[in-house]
Amino acid sequence: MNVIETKNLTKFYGKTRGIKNLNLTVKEGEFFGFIGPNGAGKSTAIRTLMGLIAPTSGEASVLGLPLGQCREYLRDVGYLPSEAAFYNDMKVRELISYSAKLRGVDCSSEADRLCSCLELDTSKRIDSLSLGNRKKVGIVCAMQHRPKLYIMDEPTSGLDPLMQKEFFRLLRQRQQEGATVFFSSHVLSEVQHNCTRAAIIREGSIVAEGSIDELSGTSAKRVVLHGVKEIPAGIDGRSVVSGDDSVSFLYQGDIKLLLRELSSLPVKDVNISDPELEEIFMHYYQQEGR
Amino acid sequence: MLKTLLKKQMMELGAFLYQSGKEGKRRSKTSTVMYALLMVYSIVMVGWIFWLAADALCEPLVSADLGWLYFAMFGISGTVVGVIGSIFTTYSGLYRAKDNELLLAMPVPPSKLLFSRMTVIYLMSLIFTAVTTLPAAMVYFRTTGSAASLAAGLPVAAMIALIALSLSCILGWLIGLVSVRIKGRGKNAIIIILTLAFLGGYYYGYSKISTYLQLLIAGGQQIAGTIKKVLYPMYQMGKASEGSFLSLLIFALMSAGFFAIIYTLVSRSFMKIALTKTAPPKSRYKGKNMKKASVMKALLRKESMRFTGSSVYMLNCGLGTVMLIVTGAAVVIKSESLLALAQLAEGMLPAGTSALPLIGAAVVGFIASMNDISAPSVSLEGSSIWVVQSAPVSSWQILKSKILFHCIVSVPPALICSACIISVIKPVAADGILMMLFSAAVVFLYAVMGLAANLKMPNLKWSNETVVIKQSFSVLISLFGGWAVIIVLSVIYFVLGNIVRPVVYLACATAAIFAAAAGITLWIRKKGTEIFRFL
Repeated sequence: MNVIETKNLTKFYGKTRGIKNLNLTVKEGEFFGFIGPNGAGKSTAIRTLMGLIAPTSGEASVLGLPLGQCREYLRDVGYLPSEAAFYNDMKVRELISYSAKLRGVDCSSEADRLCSCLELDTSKRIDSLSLGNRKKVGIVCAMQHRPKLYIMDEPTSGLDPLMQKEFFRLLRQRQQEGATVFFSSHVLSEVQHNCTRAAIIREGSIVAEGSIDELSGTSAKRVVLHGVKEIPAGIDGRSVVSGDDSVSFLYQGDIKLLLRELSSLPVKDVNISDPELEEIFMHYYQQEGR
Repeated sequence: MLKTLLKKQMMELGAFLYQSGKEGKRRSKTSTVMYALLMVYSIVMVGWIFWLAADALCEPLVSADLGWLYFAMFGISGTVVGVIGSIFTTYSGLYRAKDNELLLAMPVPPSKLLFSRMTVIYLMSLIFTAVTTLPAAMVYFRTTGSAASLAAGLPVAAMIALIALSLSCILGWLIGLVSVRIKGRGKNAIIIILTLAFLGGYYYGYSKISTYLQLLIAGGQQIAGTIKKVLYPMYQMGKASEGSFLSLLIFALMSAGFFAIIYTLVSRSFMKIALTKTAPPKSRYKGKNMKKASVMKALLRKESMRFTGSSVYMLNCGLGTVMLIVTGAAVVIKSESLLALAQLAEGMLPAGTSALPLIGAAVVGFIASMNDISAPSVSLEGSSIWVVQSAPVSSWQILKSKILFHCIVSVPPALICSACIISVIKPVAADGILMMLFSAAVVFLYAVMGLAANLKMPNLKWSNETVVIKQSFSVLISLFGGWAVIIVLSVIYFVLGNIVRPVVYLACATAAIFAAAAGITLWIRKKGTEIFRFL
């Protein structure tokens, strides 16, 4: 079952592009990463799925229900916005309880467990919390009712590395219990380490989607040549990095052509490997002049 | 769910009474009592004005068997007061609340959220309406001894507040629709024009009230017939106030029906308006030479952007600018009748040479106090205050820019108004110059007074800017403090008028105001900057 599905989903703010013909599929039980730099359209896509923005055109469904019925599926969604606006005059436990009451459920024991895992002091007032602790409050509010789907917009920003680890542990636990996780990030390593699948968004559209292995093993290869400082003239390489006695570049094309070109150069050593997700990401972003 | 939402809304509504805006902690009992007393005093004072009006109208209208018309008039007044009292909160409270997105991302039905927000506005309307209609009911009871009319007072006020809420929501909805379609500062301009047109219409009607009263006395029955036809609900409201249970039922059904229509209309577009975030249009960067600007120019620009970027700020704290210019124009246009009125007022002052320049200066001073731009300016920095605190500029430069901006917006219209008054009353040169100086001095005083009050009582933890613009103590001090300055100066003149010539008094008053303003400025520079640095 597709938990999230969008078909040509488009959102323009007047003449400003938010997302354009976004086609995305997230299957049940997946841990899905949504990667893109600032302004690529990640938050717009997420806010549209949450029913917080009306799309300009296109279709989308969440948990099998169309966007028009978002009030129904929101019961089963745990949402963490990138910048949550909380009530500064409330205490942490009051806010968590308020969030639960608005969902009409009693999840105090789960809230206590999550607060304990995330080392969150519930007696403090919201306005006295640091950015990281505010983020933890948002995480507890989004997870305490044990939803079927987690939609999280840059959830780890502000969290220290230990808490990031704990947060992903909690999410993986939920995923193993059958929940689906969809989160946006521009930290590629966390997507690579935690996700089963990912999509790369560029200027409002998906430019690559697949499993992490598929994305990493895309036809692009990282080529490192020792003994030369420049890439061969007939080779179209990207992300070129020149060293004292070496050159490294991403190559996407006929491997025979590459080998033929290399044979005519004074190459001492060659290393061809699958690039890191980060390199793939950069590869897509450097296309079309970026 | 609704109970939870309502509880939160009620807590926010009542928080200003028992919670310190600065620390968010509970106020001391003394402070809470002082706040409560201030509120009660304000309500009693407004109620007293309507009591006087009711006292004048009740007897003649009851004698003419037009008791219902008497109530209908106060019902209409109550509706207008209720709308005016809640109009600014409606748009910001319904559509621009910071937690709209937080709540709408949860399975909270928008209708329940809207209802909870409307309930708060309704309670505000009810207070404003009751202040108008309850004195009328009490005066009627004193005149006629009708206990039924007294008992009907509160339910009728509740129904009128519902009508006021509905009207207020219509305007808030229109503003919301405008803001969805128009972006940037053009939106603020339209909101201000809409609101000023509404207020202008209200004040025009208010200024014609004596004419209407004369007409009412001359042709009461005829007017009553017209109101009965044109404003049938108000006829029923009048009859209900007299004690008719059937009319109370009809009026209740009418007001509830009207509210239901408006609620349906507003709820249909609530999500769209509440969640519309207009992105600024993309602009292509055009390379051009950088212009070197002074620090003060940059800070003034920041203050100006803040002011013109918020229609709520402009309307609540900058209305004096419009009023000063309108008053100046009105003085010139209605010079003859106003001069006669001023001379009448002059006759009540201690004997001596012409006191018209004093009256003119007092008028300008009174209206200029409607501008309290500096009073919420520190609070409006909100959680972003660190931006200016960490900028490579001194605290004094930041605070000076706030004073200067208040003066830039307020001094020119005050001078224009003074010039208009001078052109009509034609005082001697010394009086004219002093009037102009007084105008500038009094604006300067209001600017520093508001800023000092805000430094002492800042609120940087607001979730809705309306809270600091409309409900903060510094704004209250600035507004009432301005009036108090003029009242104190007038009282002193009443005492000393026989021994001090008006021109001498005006010179002394101007000097005293300048001295007071300079003193407060010195305090801001020495202590205020320290307070600001550690906010």
